[in-house]
Amino acid sequence: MKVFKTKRGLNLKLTGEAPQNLISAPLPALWALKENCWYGLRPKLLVHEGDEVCVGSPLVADKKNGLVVGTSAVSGKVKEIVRGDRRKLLAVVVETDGKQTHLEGLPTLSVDASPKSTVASLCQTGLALTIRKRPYDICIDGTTLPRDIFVSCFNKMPLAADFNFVVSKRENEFETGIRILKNIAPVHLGINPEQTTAEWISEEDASIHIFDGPNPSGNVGVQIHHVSPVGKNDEVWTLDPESVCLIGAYALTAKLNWTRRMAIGGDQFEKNGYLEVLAGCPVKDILANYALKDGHTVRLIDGNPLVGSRVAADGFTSLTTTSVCAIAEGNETNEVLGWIRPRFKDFSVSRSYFSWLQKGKARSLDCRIKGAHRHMIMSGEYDRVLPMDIMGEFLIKAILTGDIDRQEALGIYEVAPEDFAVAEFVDSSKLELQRIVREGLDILRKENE
Amino acid sequence: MIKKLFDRLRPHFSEGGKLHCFYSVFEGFESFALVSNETSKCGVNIHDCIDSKRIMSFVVIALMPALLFGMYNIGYQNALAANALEGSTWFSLWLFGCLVMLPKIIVSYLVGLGIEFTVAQWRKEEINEGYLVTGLLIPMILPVGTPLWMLALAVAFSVILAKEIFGGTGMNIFNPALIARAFLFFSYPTKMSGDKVWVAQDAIGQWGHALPEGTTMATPLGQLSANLDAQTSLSDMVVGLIPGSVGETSVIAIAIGAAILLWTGIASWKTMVSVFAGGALTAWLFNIGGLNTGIAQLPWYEHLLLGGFCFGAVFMATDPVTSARTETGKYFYGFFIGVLAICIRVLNPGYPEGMMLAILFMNMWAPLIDYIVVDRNIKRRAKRLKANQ
Repeated sequence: MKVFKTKRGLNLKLTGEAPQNLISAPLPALWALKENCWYGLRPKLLVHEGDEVCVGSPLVADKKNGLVVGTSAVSGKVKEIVRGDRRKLLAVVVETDGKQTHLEGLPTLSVDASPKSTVASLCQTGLALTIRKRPYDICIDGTTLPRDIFVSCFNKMPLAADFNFVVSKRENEFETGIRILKNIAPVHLGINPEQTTAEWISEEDASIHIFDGPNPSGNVGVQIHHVSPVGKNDEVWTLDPESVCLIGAYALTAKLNWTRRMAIGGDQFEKNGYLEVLAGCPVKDILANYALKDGHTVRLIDGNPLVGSRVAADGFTSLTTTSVCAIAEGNETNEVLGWIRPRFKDFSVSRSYFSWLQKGKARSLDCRIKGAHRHMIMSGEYDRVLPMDIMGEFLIKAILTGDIDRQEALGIYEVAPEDFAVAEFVDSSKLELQRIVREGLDILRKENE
Repeated sequence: MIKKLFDRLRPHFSEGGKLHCFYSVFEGFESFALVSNETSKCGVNIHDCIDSKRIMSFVVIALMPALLFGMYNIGYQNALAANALEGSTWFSLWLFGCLVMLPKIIVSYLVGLGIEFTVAQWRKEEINEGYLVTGLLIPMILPVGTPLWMLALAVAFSVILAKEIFGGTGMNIFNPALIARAFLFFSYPTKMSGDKVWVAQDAIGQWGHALPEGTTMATPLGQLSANLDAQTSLSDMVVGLIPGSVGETSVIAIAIGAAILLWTGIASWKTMVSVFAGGALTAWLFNIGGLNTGIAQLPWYEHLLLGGFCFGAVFMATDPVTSARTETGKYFYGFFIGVLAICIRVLNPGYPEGMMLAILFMNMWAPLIDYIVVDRNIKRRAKRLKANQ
């Protein structure tokens, strides 16, 4: 086990962390496969409204080569095909029949299978949608084998799920999942120093790397950068530990079960905890188990407050959701001369505020940007929270100016939007860094296709 | 209540309203009075509460000790020249200085912000708070005798040609305050150097003293440059009771400002320390180098205390926009500012103060320094990637 100590970063503590209380939710009445589940693929719709589907029935397929499919996690009837501008496919909504009939004939996963057949099985079962590839941070397309597979076993983002709890009592599934993945490529597990004694972490089938440092040391991109950086012609796959469990569970039972343990965090829930529920369930089902407080306009987040995306109360979670958060929107707050006030309750890394007096105190933050969008003024802000040998500010400038050669030289293939989440949080110019990085990656992907 | 007031006024300034041509002014005042309740649209859902308004207002706070002492020093130098120090209270000296400085500050802000508001309106952008600092810096780095019309001209020149033409705050290459000073220095040299510009000549009402025409008072560096004995005590240099540009004389006041900027992390200690290191080393080399001029033989530590060295190192060299932006680059950038400032002082007899030109020169070289540092990073990463494959 090699220990990587990182100094740069920021541990941000928010009120409303999920305690380890697990509630199980019943099978949802509706279920959806959303567009963010197939990011990077061009979806071809395989079903129509009214079609009967089983668990494992393909709903969408990758238009390019048809290898990766998005399968249904429930049995029932396709209720709605949601489309956006220019008929862009946004979601496939299925009304469940409560029977959870499984599709017959789906390929099985075996620890002895060849790499290609393992990948083919993952693609046909839809489990491939839990895997992202670097560079570009997009879904895999099933045509290539990766150099390595990385799994980060911890997440230091505020209100993120605790994987020790999520994987507890699923050690066998996790272990089997790792063995399946080991068939494809060498597997690397990134753990924090506290996890060295965790029962579910084993050196038998994977290389273990210890990452000791503040957030975002739990980001898989940071871990790949330190262990074995990704170049333009490399391909590395990443997935979260719970997805490994899902793969392992399928290998053990030959039945698809997309049930996840989602962390329900944020101070706008009346109580916090974990919910065992089908990934892709309606947000309403979560709110039925964890009610919201009254009084504020609330933002519901699919993910955590730094990396997650806003989701409507009548929306759906994703296949890869590990946490759902609720924090105050804050748009009804009008702060008079806020920029010169002490703001004792707020948080800042700058010592011009007084957060340094209460280090480690949990904060209740809303969604205001608390400033205005400006050109990049201060220097070194990003570097202080980006634990990679990458010059973040210059990379962002290269993306903004569309200088592709410079982006490549500065290491764009090594990063994903989430790696810039903490930098975006501390940025005094309030630039949307994750959007900028995403756009840069998408342009490069198109250029290199 | 304030929110309601702005909500009531907004229709008049919005598109189609009678006062739409002043929308940038309205928006500027609204964002000054009320923090925008705009929420994040994408990316992170929460934000640190630091923003550029907070940063700029802390730089202004850091400038206050130097400004307040500069006001006192204006009164002190005026009374000293009039041989009327006895009988003058510290408050009367400060008040006179305040009355001298206030019109300059007002003119600087009126002209500068006027241009900024106009450009913001034209570009349909929000007004930027960067001029809050520049507008105060410009009167502080000029001699007290600078006429108001000259100040207005310099402000207009620097805001338009050193800042807005590049795209506004954050995009400029040169420090706008120093460009204003350089503009005046080369356009009106008699009003910016010599020994007639460092003391307020006229009384204001019952405050201050009208000095006889031709009263002179040279700065210590000016005297040394002319190979005269400066006869300024070390304590006067540190306290700042010497002639000079308004904000630059008191090392103590500047040190308080430096402490604020360093504690809050707004200014880079790397740049600041490097400027002093470069200046001290160069001055020491001149001390032992055998050059027999008064200014070359000035002890190295006095070089750092006199003129605009401290003020430049603390408030000008650390401007994040125009300085090197890489952490390693900041060491080189600062060091060469110190080196150049002392070289100009010692080797150029016509110009006893070198800080302004040194910083402007290094502003020009900062992108190259960054380029080299970034290039080294690129090569190091490429090497690692190659070794990994």
